[in-house]
Amino acid sequence: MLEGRFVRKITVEALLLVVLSVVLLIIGSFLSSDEENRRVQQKYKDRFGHILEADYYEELDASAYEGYDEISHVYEGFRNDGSPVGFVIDLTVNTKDYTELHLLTGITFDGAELTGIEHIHDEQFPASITDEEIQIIAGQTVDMQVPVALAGSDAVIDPDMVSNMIPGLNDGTYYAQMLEADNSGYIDYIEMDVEDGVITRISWDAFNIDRTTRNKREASLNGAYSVSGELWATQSYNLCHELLTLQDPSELAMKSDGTTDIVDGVTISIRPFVDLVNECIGYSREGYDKDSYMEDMTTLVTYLFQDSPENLGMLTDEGYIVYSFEDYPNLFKIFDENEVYIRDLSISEAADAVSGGLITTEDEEGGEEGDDNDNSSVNDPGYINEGYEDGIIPEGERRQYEDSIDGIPVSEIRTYIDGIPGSSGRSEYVISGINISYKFLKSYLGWMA
Amino acid sequence: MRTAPFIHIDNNIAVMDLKTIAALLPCVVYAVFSYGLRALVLTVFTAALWILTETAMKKVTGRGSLRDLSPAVNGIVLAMLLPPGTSLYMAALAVLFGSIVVKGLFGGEGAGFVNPAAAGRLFVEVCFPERMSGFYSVGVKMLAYKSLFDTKVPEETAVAEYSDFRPVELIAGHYPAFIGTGCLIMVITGLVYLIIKRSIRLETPVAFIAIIIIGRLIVDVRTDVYNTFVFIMTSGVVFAAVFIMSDITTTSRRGLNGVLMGMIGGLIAVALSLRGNPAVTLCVPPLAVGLISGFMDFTDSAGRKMRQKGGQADA
Repeated sequence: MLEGRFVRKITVEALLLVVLSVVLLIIGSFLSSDEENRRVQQKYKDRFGHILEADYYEELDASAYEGYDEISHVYEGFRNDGSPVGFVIDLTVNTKDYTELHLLTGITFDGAELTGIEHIHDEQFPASITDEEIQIIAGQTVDMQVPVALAGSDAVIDPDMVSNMIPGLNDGTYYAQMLEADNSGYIDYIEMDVEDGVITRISWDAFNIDRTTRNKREASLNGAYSVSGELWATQSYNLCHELLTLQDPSELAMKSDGTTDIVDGVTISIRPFVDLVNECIGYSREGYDKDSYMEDMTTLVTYLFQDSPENLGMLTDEGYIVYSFEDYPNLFKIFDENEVYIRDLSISEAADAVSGGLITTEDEEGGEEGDDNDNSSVNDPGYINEGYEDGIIPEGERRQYEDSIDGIPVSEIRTYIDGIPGSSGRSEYVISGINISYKFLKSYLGWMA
Repeated sequence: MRTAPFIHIDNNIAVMDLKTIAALLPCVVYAVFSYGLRALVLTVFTAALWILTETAMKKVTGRGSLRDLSPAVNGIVLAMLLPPGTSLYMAALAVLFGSIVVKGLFGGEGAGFVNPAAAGRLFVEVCFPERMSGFYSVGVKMLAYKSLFDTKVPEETAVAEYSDFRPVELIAGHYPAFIGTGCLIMVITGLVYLIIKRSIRLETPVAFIAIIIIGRLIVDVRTDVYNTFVFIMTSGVVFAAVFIMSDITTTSRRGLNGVLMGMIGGLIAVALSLRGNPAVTLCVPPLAVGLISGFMDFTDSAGRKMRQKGGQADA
């Protein structure tokens, strides 16, 4: 039984205990808060110091990244004077094959530059990517602006995503290069994949007749080759992406000065691109693939110099033949008996001619009608819509299209990288992580595109 | 059978329970100070539900005193052993298991053989381990309450690398832990109060802690003896020693027997600590000691009866 006096007495004692506890807890809290802060900052520095160098870090509240399911934590780094340095984003990329890649990314506050990437090895189902491969990506992206995309050679599209097909394309890899170098010594080339009758991959670059000069894309990334507006590599990539969406080069609405207004971020002349794509489309129609093209190019060079391109040092590492035929203007032309120009020859026809094949004349080809038909397969493929001159697309034919990488408009991409050699898929895992970080920061900080 | 007061009129069961509740208050204050509204609600809820459940059972069975305060003690002790992210559903399950299955079905107040609060806590830990993982950093989200009604597995779990924490933080309870076991100073405050009020027998708790310290030192000497300090600070074993191992109902032995019980409990705790589940490390030793203690009581009682019968036969 509880007597009232005991209850009163113990209640008073309990109250005293509560007061004593509160006092002790306040003292304890005061003593430990500094220690806690030092410990936490030391932990952050150990963990993030090599990702983003800052004097101290603060974790953002989870509500700041609500809606970004991939992001688990975000930390902001500051200098001692309180000015922000950047952010460390802790995120997990879910890959297409249901594996995970846990990354830490560091991005500067003002320049949107990537400061570091680290792989955290705690995934339940780890993605098949090695630390060495992540280091390759880091080497290409750290200190560069985000967002990031794989460079033009990997501009690809899923055939199922394409609704507009050019009829009659044969599957395979097709290639065309300019026969003469431009004023800077560059020879533009296009390589194009066709799958299920759809152009699924396209790359536009240029090598230089001066073999010590880097390819145009690489030179532009390194600042050695500059054009007005975006980097040439960026514009090349944007254009390739656009063509994959549109499929038909005529819809690029090239104007008479060679430019286009319909592709964001593209200010250069797209004429070489359109001409070479048209050529590739013609080759695809014919089934004249890249290997055949290279074979005929080899025949022509061998005919001219009585030696193989390899021995002449004309082969690039990728196997392309670097030669400008400007000294042999008639090699690709056909004349009648009176030396009157009839028409241009294709690469295959020129190769046939120099290797002892017949150079057909107008009469042998069966007159003008036959001339049109025969020529339709090469440089001047008559079946291809020449396009809407001066950028005019008739009312009702302009399509709205979305072109994005990781949900980011291509025009926002700031850095193009080569990625992991031979593995665009694994490269994309890491790039996705970087771009998710960018998307969050763009929204959080209100960055303009 | 009804239990009777057996020590002194100033220290009957009800008074001792009231003193235990007072001794638990520092831990309750720490819980609220560290985890805010969630800790307060959990503590009041478990204590109130335990009282209601036992009151209902006593009315149904007609056994026990309705003025008994042990349900409140059990409810508060149970709450102190819960992670701060525990939902009320899990807390209710623990209370119902402890009050009905462990305490009610085995004779009620004074007749139980294991501590019902520890049994209830262990029950939810074993059956729903993923739902008992809601640990939070101290001093954040003090007014948060959603976890109390969350039917999902807690998402946020704070890091439990206690060796990263500084000694001052560990002593002050500034690390994620069960809501009431984290601050050694608060537990010691309660212990001092119980000693002053002569409401605790120290044999079992002291032996329990001593064996744990020795055992952990033997384990940790190969790596870092600082880990022993960290374990004593963070595991809640001091809380278990003061408020569970000293339970006179389930660990009622004195003198050497009490020391022996404490040593057995300590050895079990050291062995379990190597497995790494803090709730199991905390709850299993008192339960094991309760069972052993109950068995020894039974054999003592049977031996006395045998001797009495033998004496009568001789006469």
